[in-house]
Amino acid sequence: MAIQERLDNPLRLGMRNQRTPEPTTLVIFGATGDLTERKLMPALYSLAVDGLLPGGFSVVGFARREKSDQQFRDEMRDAVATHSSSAPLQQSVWDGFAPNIYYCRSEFDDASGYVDLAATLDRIEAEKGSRNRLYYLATPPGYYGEIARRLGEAGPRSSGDAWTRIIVEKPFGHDLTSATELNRTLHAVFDEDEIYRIDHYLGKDTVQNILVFRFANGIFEPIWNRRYIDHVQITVAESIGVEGRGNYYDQAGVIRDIIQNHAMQLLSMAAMEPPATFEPNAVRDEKVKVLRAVREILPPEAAECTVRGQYAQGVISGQRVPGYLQEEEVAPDSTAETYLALRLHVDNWRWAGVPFYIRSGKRLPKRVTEIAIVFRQPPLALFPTSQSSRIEPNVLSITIQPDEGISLNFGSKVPGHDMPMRIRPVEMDFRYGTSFGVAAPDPYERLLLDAMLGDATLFTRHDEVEAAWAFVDPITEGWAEANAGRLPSYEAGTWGPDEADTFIERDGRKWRRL
Amino acid sequence: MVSREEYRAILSGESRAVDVVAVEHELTGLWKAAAAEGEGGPGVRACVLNLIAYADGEDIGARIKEVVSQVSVRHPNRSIIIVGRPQAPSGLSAAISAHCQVPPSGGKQVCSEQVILSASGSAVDEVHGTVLPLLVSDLPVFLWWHDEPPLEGHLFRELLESCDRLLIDSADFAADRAAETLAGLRNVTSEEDVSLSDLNWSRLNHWRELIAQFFDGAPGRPYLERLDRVRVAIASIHGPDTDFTEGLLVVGWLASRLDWQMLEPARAAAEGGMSLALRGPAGPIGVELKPDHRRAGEGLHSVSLQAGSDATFSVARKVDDLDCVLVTAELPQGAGHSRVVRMDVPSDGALLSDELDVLGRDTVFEDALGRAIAFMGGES
Repeated sequence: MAIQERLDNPLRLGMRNQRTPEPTTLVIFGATGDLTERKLMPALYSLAVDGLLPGGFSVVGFARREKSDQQFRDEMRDAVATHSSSAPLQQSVWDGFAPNIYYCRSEFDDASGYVDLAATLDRIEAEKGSRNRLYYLATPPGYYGEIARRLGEAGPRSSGDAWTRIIVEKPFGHDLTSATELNRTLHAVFDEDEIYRIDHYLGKDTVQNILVFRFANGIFEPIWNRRYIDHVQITVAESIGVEGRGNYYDQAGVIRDIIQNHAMQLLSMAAMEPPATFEPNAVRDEKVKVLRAVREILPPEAAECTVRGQYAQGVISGQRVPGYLQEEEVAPDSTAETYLALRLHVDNWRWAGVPFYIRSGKRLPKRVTEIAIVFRQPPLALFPTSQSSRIEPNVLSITIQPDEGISLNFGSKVPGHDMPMRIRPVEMDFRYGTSFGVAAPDPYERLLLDAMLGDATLFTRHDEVEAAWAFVDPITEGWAEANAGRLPSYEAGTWGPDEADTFIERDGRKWRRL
Repeated sequence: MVSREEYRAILSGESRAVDVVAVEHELTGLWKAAAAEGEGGPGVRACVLNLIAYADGEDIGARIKEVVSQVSVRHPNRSIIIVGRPQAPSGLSAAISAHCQVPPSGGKQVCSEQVILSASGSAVDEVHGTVLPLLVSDLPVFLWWHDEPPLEGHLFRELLESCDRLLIDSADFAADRAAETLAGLRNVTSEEDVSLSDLNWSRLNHWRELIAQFFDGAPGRPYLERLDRVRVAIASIHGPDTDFTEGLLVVGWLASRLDWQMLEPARAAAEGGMSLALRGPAGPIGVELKPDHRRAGEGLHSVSLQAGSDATFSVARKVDDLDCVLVTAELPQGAGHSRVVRMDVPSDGALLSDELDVLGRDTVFEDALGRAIAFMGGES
C-alpha cells in the first residue's frame, strides 16, 4: 500500500494508526465452533472496545446448528465474557456491538443457505453503507473447498472500491497435493491478493520482532551468516498433550501440526534476506526464497535426518498424565509422532554448511518457542579450559513465548587472582515485559485488522504453503516406506527420546537446555 | 551501605534518606544487595529513560511520586523528583526508593529507581547541579514541570537545557494566562531545541483517533473538505470559569490539518461559550465552544462536525456511562452508523505514559498549539 494512499486522510498525520478499515461485514463459517468462541469473537470485541473496528462493521455467523440471531448473540456474549482479554465485559460497548451480530443457519453444501446469506448481506449492507465482505473459514478443513465453490456461485466479487476477501485457517491441506488442489479451488473464485491464509504465529508481536531485530539494528546482520554462525536451533515445545484432538492429531502428527507451518515460518524469518521494502509481497518473496532453498530430505534420507518419538505417561508440573496411546480418539497402535527433531540445510550463499536443527513436541517439560543462533568458537583458544573454567559458544536466543525476549551469552572473567584466569558464560538478557510494560495484543486481533485493511504481510502466500509441503512430503513418504513400527517413546515431562540427543551429538553439538 | 532489611524496604517502595553526594553509590549498593539474592530476588532493575519532575511543595511532590510510580511499569525509568520550597530556609536532602511491579505480561517484578531531592531556599536554584550527574547516560531525558513553569526561572532554564522533552499540563494553567504561557513555552523550547508535550494534548488522543476514523473510509471521506460547522462541548460542573484550552486544541488540530484560516480570534458567546470564524478551502466554517455545566467531570464532552445538511459526525461521552463514548455518523439517505467505544477518562499516569512514548518532536501538536494560541488571541 503506497504511503500516499495511507495518508489520504490528512487527519491521520502523526497518528499511531495510519488508517482504520473500511466498513466491513465479516462472515464466519463454522461460527458455532471453538475457534469463534475462544478467539475470533473475543478478538473482535477487544477491537470494538478500543474503537479499532470501522463504523458499519457487522458479523454474520454461518453454521449448521439451528439458532436465532438473539441466541447467537447471547452465546457470543458468554464467549466474550469468558475468553476476552478486555474483561470484564463492558456492558455499554457490548450493547452497541451485539446488534451488529447476525446468524445464518445452513449446511455448508446447501446452495439455498448461500442464497439466504447473500440476502442477509444485502440487507445489512444497505443499512450500514458497507459493501466490503470478509469471509472467515473456521470450519473443519474438509469444507474449505466446498464453501469457496459455493461462494463463487452465489457471492459477488470485489468490484470498484468494494472488496471481498477470504481468510483460511490452518491446516492448509495435509500434503502438497491437497494444498495445491485447495489453492486451485480458491483461485477459481478469489485472486491471490484476496486470500489470507492465517498462521496465528505470525500475528505474535515477538515473531514480527524477528524482522525488526534483524533489519532495524546494524550490528547483527554482518554476522548473520555462515562465516560466524555454527548452527541454528529452533524449538517449538508444548507441555500440553493432544487436548481432545486425538482424532486430528493421529492423522497429522507434529510434522503437519507444527513443523509444516509454525516452524517453517520461524525458519524463513530467521534465515531470509532483507526485503527490498516492508511491503507484503516483498517480505513474502524473501521468505519463499528461503523455503525453496531448503535442501530436500529425500525419502531414503528421512530416517537419518529426523528423529521421531511418542510420549509415554509421565509427570508434568506435578500432575501424572497419560501416554499418547492412552489419549482419547488415538488408535492403540498409532505411529503418529508427538515429537520430531530434524536437521535441514538452506542451500544459499548465506547459509551453506550451516545446519538448522528443529525440534518440536508435545508433553515436553515446558511450553517454550525459541530460535537460537549458535556462533562459532573463536579461531584460537587463548584461554585454557578446566573444571572451573569453560568457554561456551556465544548464543543469541530469541524467545517467542512465553517469556518473550532476546538474550546473548558470552564468556567473562571470573573476579579474582586465579592464574590462569577463570572464564564463565554469563547472559545479557532483554525481556519484553521488562522494557515494555504493556501486554502484547492477541494475534487474532492483529490479523483480523490486517485482513480488513488489506495488509497480507503476516499471512502465508500460496507458494509459501506449497514450498513448505514440498519439504515435508518426502519425509513422511520416507517414514511410510521404512515402516519402522513403534516409535521411540519418551516419558511425558522430558525433552524427548534419547535418540534425539544422540542425533545431534553425532554432529558434535547438543540441544540447548531450556 | 544498605543492609539486607533496608534494601528490602526500599524495594517495597519505602524511601530511605541518603547523603546527597552519595546517591549514585547508594543506588549501586541497593542493586548489589538485590543481586546477591540471586534468582529468587525481588526483581530486576530496568531503565529506558530519565524522568526529572519538579513539584512545588511537598503535597504536589507526593502526588507526583505516585504518578511516576504508575508510569514505571510501562516505562521503566530513573526518576529524579525535585520537591522545591523556595520560601523555606535553604537546605538540600536526598532519599532513594524503588518501585517494583509485575508487568502485565507476567514474569519477575520490574524495578525503577526514584531519587527525591528536597530543596529549599536558595538551594532550589542550584539543585540542577545535583540532578545532572544522576542522569543515566545515553537515555532520553524528560522534564515534567508540574503547574506553570517560570519561563525565566534559573532552575527551569538549567534543566531545560539538559532535557530532550518538556512535559507540561496546560489544564493546570490559569485560563486567563494560558495563551501567554503556552506561547512563551513554545518560544523557550524552540530556543533550546527541546520538544514540548502537553498532557492536555494526550487527553485528545482517543478523541482525535475517533474523529479521524470518520474520514478513513469511502463513505465519510468526501465530507472532510465540506465541513462547515464545528461544535465542541466542555463538561464543567465546577463553575463558570470553563477551561477551553482542550477544546481549542481540537479545533487547532482540525484547522492545521485541513488548512482552515482564522478570520477573527475567539469571541465570547452566549452562556459562557466562545465562537470562532474560520475559512477553509471550501468556504466559511463556524466554530462554537460551549460549557455544559450539567455534565459530570471536566474536559471535552462532545465534538460534532457538520457538512452542510448532508452529513454529521459526532463523538460524545455517554451520559449513562462516562467511560464510553457514542460515535455516530449520519450520512445522506438514512445511511450511517453508530457505535459505542470505551474511552476511559485518563489518569495523569496514563497521560504521562502516552507522552513518554513520544521521543521525537510532535509537529502535529506544535501546529495545533500554534493555531490554538492564535485563537486565544496570543501570538501565532
